[in-house]
Amino acid sequence: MQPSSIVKTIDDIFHPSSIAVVGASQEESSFGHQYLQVLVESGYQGRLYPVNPREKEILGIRVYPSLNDIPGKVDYVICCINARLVLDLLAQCARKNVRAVHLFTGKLSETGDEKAYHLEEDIKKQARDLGINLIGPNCMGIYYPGERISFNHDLCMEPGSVGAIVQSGGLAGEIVRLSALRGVRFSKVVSYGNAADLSETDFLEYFLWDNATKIILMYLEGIKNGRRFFNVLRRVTQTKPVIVLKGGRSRAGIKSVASHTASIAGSINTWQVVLRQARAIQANSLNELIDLCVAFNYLPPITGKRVGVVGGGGGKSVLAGDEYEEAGLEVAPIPDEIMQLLEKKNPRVTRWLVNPVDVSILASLNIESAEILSLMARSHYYDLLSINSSEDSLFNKDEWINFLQSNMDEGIKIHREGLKPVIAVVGNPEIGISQLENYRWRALFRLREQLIREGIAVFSSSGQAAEAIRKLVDYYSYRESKGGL
Amino acid sequence: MLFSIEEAKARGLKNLTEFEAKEILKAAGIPVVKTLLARSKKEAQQFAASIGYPVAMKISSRELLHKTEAGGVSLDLNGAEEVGLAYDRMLKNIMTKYPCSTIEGVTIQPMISKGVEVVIGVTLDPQFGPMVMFGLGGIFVEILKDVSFRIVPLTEEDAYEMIYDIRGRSLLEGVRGAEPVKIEALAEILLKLSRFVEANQEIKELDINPLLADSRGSVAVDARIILK
Repeated sequence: MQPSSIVKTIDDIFHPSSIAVVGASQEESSFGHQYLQVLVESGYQGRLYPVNPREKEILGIRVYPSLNDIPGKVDYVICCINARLVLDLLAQCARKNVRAVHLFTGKLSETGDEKAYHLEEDIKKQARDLGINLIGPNCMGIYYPGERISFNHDLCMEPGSVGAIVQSGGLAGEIVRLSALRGVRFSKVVSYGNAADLSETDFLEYFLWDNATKIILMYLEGIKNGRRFFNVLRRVTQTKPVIVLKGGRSRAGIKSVASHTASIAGSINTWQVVLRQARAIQANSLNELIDLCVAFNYLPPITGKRVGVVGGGGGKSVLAGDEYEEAGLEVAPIPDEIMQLLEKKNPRVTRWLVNPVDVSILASLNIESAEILSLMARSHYYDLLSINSSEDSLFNKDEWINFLQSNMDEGIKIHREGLKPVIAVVGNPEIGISQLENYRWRALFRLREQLIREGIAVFSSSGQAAEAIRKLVDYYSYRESKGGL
Repeated sequence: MLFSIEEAKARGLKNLTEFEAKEILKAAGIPVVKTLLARSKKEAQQFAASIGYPVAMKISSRELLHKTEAGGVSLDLNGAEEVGLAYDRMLKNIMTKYPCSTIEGVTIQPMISKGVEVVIGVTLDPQFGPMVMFGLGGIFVEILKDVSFRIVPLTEEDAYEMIYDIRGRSLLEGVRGAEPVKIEALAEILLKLSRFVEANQEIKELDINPLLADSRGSVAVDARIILK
């Protein structure tokens, strides 16, 4: 199959050799100023042209009164001016041969105002007539570390393999930042707002062909063409995982219908049907979206459900077992061959030791958790290992930190050697600045950071890890069943 | 000639009668129980005899969407006399309660009691277009809402999955000594329905309720189609 022309169009948008920021101003709090500043800070290498008839220079960059006054070619326009000026700007764009415009400009159809709705329709029509592609209106536009293009201050400029299609502007930056805390890096992100022209489905199709993008995240509120979305989604998931968070899931009022089927259909959520049938991975909250992103970003295509859980003492390890099982994974018993090896060290082992391995009992058995992890990593009885941080603490400060570290070190080793997929659960209590004085939280944060640097998927709880991994296993098992892994 | 969507369109019909809906489904390759439309009491008795007792008899009227509630259904009729009495009673019922409805006649079909009651339907989603529904009949669909949906067009895999998706699937696999239902036949009907709906964009709502499924196959016992 060949990529459609939309793929080339979008690829050009992501690779502009020059960008004009229309509505840039000296006023630091203005969006035009912020866009320009973010592009400068991010280190965008192409030519930057601020446009504003009332300014001479912003951030040391020469300002042009209009698009037409710009000497060189303009590939991409970021429009930060009032909605009623957009039609005129599009006409100027056409004269300057600009092919793509990002409308940060809002207060259009999203307001529900009839006049604004019609203005957006006019903008859409004019852009189409002039052969100009639009992103937006009412959105943040594109973030592409590869070309050092960004829409927010301080977004990481290291490229990765996650592509995100985010209808909302605020959430686009939030998703990048929250994922970055977990070590996830992005290939390309687009916030596309009202989708007057380029839509979620166009970008989805683009990401199918974008080699740098291995995983796709979507945050959707409404779509324009459900059939096309469904068909494209169904095709993309055959080769790339697509994780979807749908905002506005509550069901709109049910129309009066005569048949059984239609009246029952009114009480179900069609989105669940669509996402399931198209084999997309469904997230039900922003947190889950990030957890799924972490799971898919770090883990290989696991198709087995047997997890070995090591770490956590007493109740924490019991609960971890429950959470994995309830999510649909198997906390598989420790196999005889491992038990026999351990029994040589201590015959009491068989009665006491189970999966999840409770580290608080290991000391009295004279067995190191690292030893068990190492055996599990070499056993074909497990598909995946979960190392859990233990916050159990009859130890003094240094002893506790060492204990915590030693539990994790073997996991890191197994991960480095690629013996078995490893994830880590490091409790992430909601703490304030003052508690950072506490060595306990500092130690956990350091540990978390170390694991992330090692390229390990870290989750805040076993429950979150379990849900994400089950969805990952389901997805790859399906791909495997179709021979597509 | 079987009744067709084209004919319904040409005549500007929206609510098709059970008889019309069944003819359309039959043409789409979906097994439908033998159903005859009688225009008089005498014809009803003749058709009942030719089908073989016991029979079910229902009022055929475009305006009556809920025949049972309207007193327009008589089940398990044995012999010409019972058919005649039921015919008079139903006609009187409808003419008293719904004097404005046009009665085209009555449909006669054999009583089928064996098998698991299944409901299959089609509805239009405003965003995603036609969707096919599958569920078990009776309380399963009405009270427990134990149904599954898929967007048209269905793949073969979708068809099987939507059958196994329902919570009461063990009833299809055979419980208390009952033979398992022939799942392939159900899947085939779902696929045929999906193709039919794809080819006929005029369908707004469609119900096959019930479809009786057993170890040999499935057959539509009652049906309804509403066009856009």
